Amino acid sequence: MRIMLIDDSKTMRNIQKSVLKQLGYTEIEEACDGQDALSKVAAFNPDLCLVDWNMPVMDGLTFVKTFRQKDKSTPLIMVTTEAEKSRVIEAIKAGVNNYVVKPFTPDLLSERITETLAKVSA
Amino acid sequence: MSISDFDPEILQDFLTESGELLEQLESDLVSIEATPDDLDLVNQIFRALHTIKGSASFLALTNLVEIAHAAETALNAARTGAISLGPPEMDLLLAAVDVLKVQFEQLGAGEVELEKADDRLVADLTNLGGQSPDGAAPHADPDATPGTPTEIGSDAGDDPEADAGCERVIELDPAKADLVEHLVSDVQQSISQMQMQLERLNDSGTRSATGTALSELAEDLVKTLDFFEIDECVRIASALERAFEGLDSLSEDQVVQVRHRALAACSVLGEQANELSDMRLTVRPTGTLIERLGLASNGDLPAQQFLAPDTDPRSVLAFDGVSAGAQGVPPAESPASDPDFNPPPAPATDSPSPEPKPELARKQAANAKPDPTAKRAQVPLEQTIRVEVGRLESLMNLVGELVLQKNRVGALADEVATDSRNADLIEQMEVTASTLDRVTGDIQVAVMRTRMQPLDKLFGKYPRLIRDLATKTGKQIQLVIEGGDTEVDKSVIEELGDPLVHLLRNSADHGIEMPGARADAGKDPKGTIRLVAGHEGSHVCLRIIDDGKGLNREVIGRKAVQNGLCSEEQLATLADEEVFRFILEAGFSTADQVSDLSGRGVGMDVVRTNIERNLKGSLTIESEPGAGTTLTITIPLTVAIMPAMMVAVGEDTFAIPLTNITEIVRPTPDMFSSIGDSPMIHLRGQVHPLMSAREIFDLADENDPEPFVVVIGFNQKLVGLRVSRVIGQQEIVIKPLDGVRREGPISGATVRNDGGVSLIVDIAELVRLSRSQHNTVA
Repeated sequence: MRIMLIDDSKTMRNIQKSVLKQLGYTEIEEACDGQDALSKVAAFNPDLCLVDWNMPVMDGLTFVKTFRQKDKSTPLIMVTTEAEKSRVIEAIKAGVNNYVVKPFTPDLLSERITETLAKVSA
Repeated sequence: MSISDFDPEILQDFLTESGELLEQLESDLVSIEATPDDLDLVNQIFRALHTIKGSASFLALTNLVEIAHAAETALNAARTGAISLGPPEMDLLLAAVDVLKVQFEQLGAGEVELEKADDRLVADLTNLGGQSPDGAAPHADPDATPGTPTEIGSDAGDDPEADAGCERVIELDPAKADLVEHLVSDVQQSISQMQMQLERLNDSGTRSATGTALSELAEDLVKTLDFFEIDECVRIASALERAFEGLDSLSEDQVVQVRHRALAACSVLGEQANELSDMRLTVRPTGTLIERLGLASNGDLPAQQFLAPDTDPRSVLAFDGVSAGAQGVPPAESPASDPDFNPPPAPATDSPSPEPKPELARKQAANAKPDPTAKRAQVPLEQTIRVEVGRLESLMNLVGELVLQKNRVGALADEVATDSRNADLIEQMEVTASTLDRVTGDIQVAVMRTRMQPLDKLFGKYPRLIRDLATKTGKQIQLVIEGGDTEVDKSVIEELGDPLVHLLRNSADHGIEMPGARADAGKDPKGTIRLVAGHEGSHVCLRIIDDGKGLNREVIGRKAVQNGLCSEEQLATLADEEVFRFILEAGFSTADQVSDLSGRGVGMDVVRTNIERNLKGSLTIESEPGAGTTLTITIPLTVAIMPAMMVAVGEDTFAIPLTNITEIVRPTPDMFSSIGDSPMIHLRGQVHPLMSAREIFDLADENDPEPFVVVIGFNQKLVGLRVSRVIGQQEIVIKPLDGVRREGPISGATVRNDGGVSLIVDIAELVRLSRSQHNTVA
């Protein structure tokens, strides 16, 4: 299970990484913005991406739109804040499969990942 | 989840990363005050706050999240143009930064209970953002673990007709339930757009475009509804999506039928959306409607199911058996049965009404054009790593040991050379020793370099300092910083911080006059303090130059006599510069009034001690009454690396710091002249002192001509230096010349690429020399 973490904050990536590790996911690639992520997806070929919304250079929504032009199936989970929640629908239309609001517990993230993967494979 | 649940490393990461963001934030805030329209900068500030808040919420730092959120709210209003950032707004934002700083310090000190921001401040900031403080209460309850509800009534999905008429309660995952209000308004918006497009379907000329627009709207609807797993609605939306493909190939009659059924489907969806906002859904028998919609869009609808062009959706629903009154008696109170169905406004909430389209367009526009600040913020991943200072220090010590051992090996190699008759061994030993010597030197430089940091790290804080001082005193002060990229050892940064703050405060408080006084004196009411840094030979020079009232020799002298620092007679013989130095004595203050900023006479002596004792530097004061004061801090660098131009006279080569070279010319004879005995050079209509390297350094090589002139700039003065050859540019490592008597303006030595030694020209001394030469003549 290869997971790509896309977030401009190293702290956030580390937090999410430690949560993912607790959940048993070890193959993790990091990217610091949408652009960076796009340059890495081909080589890493993720099974799932966790995408932050607010990032410099290329934000999460733009990333999702660009990513979805080529890849219709790889599940994308948007990591949002309370304030960005009003725009989640926008992200859903752009093609994200699920979202999770910061801060999240390991349980919640695990649940979201399982739920997303189950839905995609269904 | 609390802090203790996290790896201490994550907390440390947070402190470092967010600490840096916070510093950047503060200086960005001060710059935004000058350029409030710089949207890129506002966005950058917003992102920084956002990141800090996001991470803090994970670490359950509720008090930190609260103030960060409030500040973010205010900035968001600035970002959307709802407010402009004037001084009152900036005061609030800067106050928020101050609170954050205190909280960071507490975190760094291992405290878990962080100071809570003043409620007034939070409320004021939130009000700036146009939200009521209550409504904006940050969501920061990280212990709330949402449960997983079981979906009651989900068995209704398989056979929609079975439960027709039944109202089922929608059970959603809490996270999705949270979004329902957004879902509802989005569905309503999509439906009203769809209804609008459907009205246009009659026009066969634009039908193709209308069909595309309809398909897209339906596709989005499917995606959204599918996400919420509202199967009843998904079924209808999917049917619409399918129906809108291939409208082109249909006959006019069939299009009318598609339009009828689609409008009916829209009204059902609209009604369901309304119900969804109450988390309930009535299951309707939509099978026939969906089937007929499909048939119509394929052009296969039998004629007996055709409806007249002016049939209203209510009747369509009745005809297709959807309405509760399947016999054609639709319930009058149902909003869905209203032909002029308009989606009611979204349920009243304190969140801004969703306007995805313009916001989206703006976002896209912002993304489309390259964003310079975003580029600046783009840091490629893992280009730097953070290293504990302790590790670098131990590395330094090890290098010191290595150098000693290397010297020992060198000495041993010499011994072997004199003692052994094995020529092969001698040669190998010598080669090894010299390689070791070179490698060790390189390591030493490399390690030293890891400790070098740009002065910007310090300077970044000063714009805020000056801003606050100016606000408090009612003065207008502009701080200009130059040479912030000058790199110095980490220890220098640490020792320099306090003295610079003191000196800047003094300049702002005592140097710069009130705007009125300045205007009366014919000066710009806005005072300027320049903070200029740069390498000068093996020294780093920092100058604090103000254009204020200058120091008063008489006042300082009188005070010095009063304080018993010198006698009247001594005073008369002292140069201005020496009199000014009295202000560096302990307890010396000439300020008429002691302000809470400075003027207690405590400080300047501390500044001097810091600079002279800890940094082994010097502090000089130059001042001109009415024109301003210049304070110069000169700090020696034990090792510094800088680019230099290598030049030669005869056998000797010299390094001239590149930063001081304005140009190198090969003058024609008519460019030379002299004033008295002093040679001068003409450059573009100006005359500058000219010196000869041969004469200055007392070199014997009389025969080597000096065809080149290196033009050196220092303190806004230009001096020409004649040399024989220009070798080229090289990065040099400055080695001090301790205990060596220096002949001429030399600041140190360096090892050249070819292994030889070159002297480094002391620019400051050279310029002084040229002046004294000139003065004695004049």
